[in-house]
Amino acid sequence: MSNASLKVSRLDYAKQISRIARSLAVAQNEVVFGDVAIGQSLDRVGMFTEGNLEKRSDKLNDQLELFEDALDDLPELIGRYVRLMPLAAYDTGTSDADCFVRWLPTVVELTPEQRDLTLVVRSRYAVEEAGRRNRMGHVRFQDLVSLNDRLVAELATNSELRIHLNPIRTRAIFETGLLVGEEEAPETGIEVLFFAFQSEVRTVVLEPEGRALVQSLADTGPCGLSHLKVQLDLAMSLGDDFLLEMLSDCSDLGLIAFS
Amino acid sequence: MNDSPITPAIGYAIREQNRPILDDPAINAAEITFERADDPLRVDRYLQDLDFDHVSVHALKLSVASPEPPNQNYLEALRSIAIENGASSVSDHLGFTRDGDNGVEMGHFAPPPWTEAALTATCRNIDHIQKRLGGTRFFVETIAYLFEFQGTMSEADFVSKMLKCTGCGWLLDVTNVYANATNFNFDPYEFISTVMPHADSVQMHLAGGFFDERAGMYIDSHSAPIPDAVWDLYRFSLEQGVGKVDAVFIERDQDFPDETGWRSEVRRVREIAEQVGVHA
Repeated sequence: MSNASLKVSRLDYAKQISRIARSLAVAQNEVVFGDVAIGQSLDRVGMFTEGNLEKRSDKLNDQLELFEDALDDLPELIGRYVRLMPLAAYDTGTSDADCFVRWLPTVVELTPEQRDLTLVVRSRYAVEEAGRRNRMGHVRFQDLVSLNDRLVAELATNSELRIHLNPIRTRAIFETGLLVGEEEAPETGIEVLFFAFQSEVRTVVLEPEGRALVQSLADTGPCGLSHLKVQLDLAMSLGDDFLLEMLSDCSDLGLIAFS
Repeated sequence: MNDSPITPAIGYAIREQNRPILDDPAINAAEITFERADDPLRVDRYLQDLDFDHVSVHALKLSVASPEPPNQNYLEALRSIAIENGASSVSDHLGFTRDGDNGVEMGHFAPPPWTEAALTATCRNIDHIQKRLGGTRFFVETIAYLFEFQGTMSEADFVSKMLKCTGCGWLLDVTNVYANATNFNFDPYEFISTVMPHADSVQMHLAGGFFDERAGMYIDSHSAPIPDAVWDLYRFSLEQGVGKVDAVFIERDQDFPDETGWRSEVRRVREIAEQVGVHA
């Protein structure tokens, strides 16, 4: 075969597989009927796509469990979504839930509470993706966290100790207090930090002092307590005891670690 | 011919439900499903403190029959899981799940059309994967399918040519061959004896499914004990592949057995392998 005909054949094959994959991904079965081997039942194409869409819907239903009481027609919306929006290449499961909540506002007018729920799904996915991009950072930090119980006690006395901020994190602003047990949210919203703790995703509501602490550590990188104090004093005046207590709480949560 | 021992390493595709029996003396191999192990926030290796003679990582999204090779990130993640868990092999299915890198997933693998164009693309992708995997052996699994696309050769010819052209290992899913033979009316023994001479290195999968009366098909659902016909075909496959079968894995994903069920099935897999070994 010449190079030219090989190229044509390669292109034709790419077109054929693209047509098949794109139509079967959303159960447009009739598009591939002409490709099916002669004599084989076309009903089986339907079995293939129905089975795949059912599995995809089941996964989404599991991942969107927190919407169960918040969206009455969740199963119908998922059913609509999987037939409209094909699964992206290399989907990781959670990536499809992320796509679903991005698609949701295009078909439903969401309440502020529902918008907060979409933020939870998106933030959890963002944390997982941060972990995927920075695996070494995640593993190293979790190693350090295992020493927290011992090292946090030395914080006030050991000037060599450096404070590290969890690198696998993302912030979100909730519009309502529903998910954090508050009756009302300020107009500016409630800032929540999502971060990895071992293989879980944890959340913490950030008060202004906590926000300043996280921002300082994020800006300066790992640093000692005295350096952190200088940084924080620029933003607000915190007493030493208050700062140590806040660092101790962050250490318990796995938001910071020491080396 | 490679230097595989007569009795292959034997074990389960790991599921949470069979972890408690993985220390059974009949088990010295394990298969890790990549998509289960690839938790981006994991801190421990998937095998934890378990140790096996043979570990294989089984992937679902290499999509070897796609027009383009799999992307680098996916391959790197696969390699990481293999290294973390001391795997000596990686496997995936003979089929396509997506079109291209920025394309779409169908959710499950479809068989490639049995054509020269598909064979060329598949071999090119397997070469690419093998290069990226370095010393980790790559096996390609024959899948069970609900329908085939129009082609110009038989599946047996396609698989034989693919094995010859790439030198990759053959993951012979005995139950898939049984299912396809039942559903498409061909002789599974002939299929296996046609392909086996072209494989340098072989792994096997065994599982049980059910006959769907409404569809008139055997469905490889991994939900039942291994049926007698598959046990017979397994023995035949071992005889055909003596000296080149590295490992055999049982797959079970639904309707899990009790402890006795888990243990008795894997012991039977070993017993047959040892009988075939003795008579080889």
